[in-house]
Amino acid sequence: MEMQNLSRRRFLLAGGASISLGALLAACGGGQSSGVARIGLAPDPSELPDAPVTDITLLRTATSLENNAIFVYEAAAGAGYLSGDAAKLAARFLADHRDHAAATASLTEAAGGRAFTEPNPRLQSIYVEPALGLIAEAADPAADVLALAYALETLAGATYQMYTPMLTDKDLRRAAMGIGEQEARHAATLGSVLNPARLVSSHGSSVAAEYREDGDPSPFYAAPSAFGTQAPVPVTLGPVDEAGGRTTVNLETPYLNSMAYEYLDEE
Amino acid sequence: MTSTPPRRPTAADSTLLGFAQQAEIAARDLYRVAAAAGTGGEQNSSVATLAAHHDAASQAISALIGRDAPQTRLDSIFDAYEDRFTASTDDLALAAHELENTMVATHLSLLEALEGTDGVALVSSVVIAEARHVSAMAALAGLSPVADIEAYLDIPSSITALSPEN
Repeated sequence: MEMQNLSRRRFLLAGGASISLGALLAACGGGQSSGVARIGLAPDPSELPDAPVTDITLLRTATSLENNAIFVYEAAAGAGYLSGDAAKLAARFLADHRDHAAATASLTEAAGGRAFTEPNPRLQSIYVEPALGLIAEAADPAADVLALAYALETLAGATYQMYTPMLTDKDLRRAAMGIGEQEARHAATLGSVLNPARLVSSHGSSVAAEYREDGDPSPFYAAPSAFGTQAPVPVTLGPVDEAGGRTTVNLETPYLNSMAYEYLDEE
Repeated sequence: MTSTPPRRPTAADSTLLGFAQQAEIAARDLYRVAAAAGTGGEQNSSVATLAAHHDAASQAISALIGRDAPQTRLDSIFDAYEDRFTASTDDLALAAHELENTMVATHLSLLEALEGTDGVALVSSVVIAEARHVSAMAALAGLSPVADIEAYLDIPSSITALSPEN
């Protein structure tokens, strides 16, 4: 199962290890050139554009994440994965995300920037598309859609939580967390539906033994912790593989390598 | 033009965060009383854990502002809710739902006033947790996540943020 974890930071760490090994081999390689491609021969790297993280960058990234969520709910509705109350709940959340995307786009323009109108391209490619692909092959796609929605809503709340102290304009903080707390409520509502037996997790909290839960924590709670988390949000999806496991995707808040920088509009 | 805000709480921040700590201690004590009385019914362990959540928030504020932390509860809040927290599970759930919405509104209003980003980061993380408490209490009250979805997702217009002035 460990090999199937899709974690951006873990991937970057692994990549860093690979680069270090490559550099070591190159350093040991001496100065002779055989004309054959080998480790240590590489084209000159092109410089990355200057990309400061401004209030506009944060707001555009928030809009991009809202568009990821819209994409997921629209895809689930289009595929007919949900029905009944679950479909009604998803439709309400979809409407909220459209409102949030419009709000963050409006704030971006009010701050002098250009609104980002697409899903976050990096999150789309490393989380959303793989997740939807797994759900398409799942034995119970409806359960997996709800699990993904729970994780995405938790991630959305965490993103606003992370970005709010980074905003330099104080007037934007309340607007940002006003949206963030709604994302958290989406997740909590799903948590209360998916795990009605235990609404508040005792894992990680200082409570008397008589109030503690037995066994491993559930993946779903209305209230999982005393504080909003910045940790990766795991979600297990898709079919059972040959080894009897399923794939876990670790969602992480969009940070420096996945923000909707303004220079992206020129590419 | 905006300037880079300070990280550490200013003197004015400490006053506001101290007030927030008093509100957190009041919420903690209310859940403690409810859990001890068993008012949470089948979710009494969840109710006891909510006391721990508010205690953690109180302690985090204390760690941030140090000796400026009052370490006392806001008695006006405790007194206003105590009877409902110990009456029945439904009464507790609806009272806690109102209290948690009030806490969220209070912390959101703090975000506009705080200067230091450490305080903003802490309050933002508390807002996320306490917004989730609201939905948990809506569920405990037996409200439908479809027919009564506003109770899960929205701060009612009747809710007023607490402030040191009122």
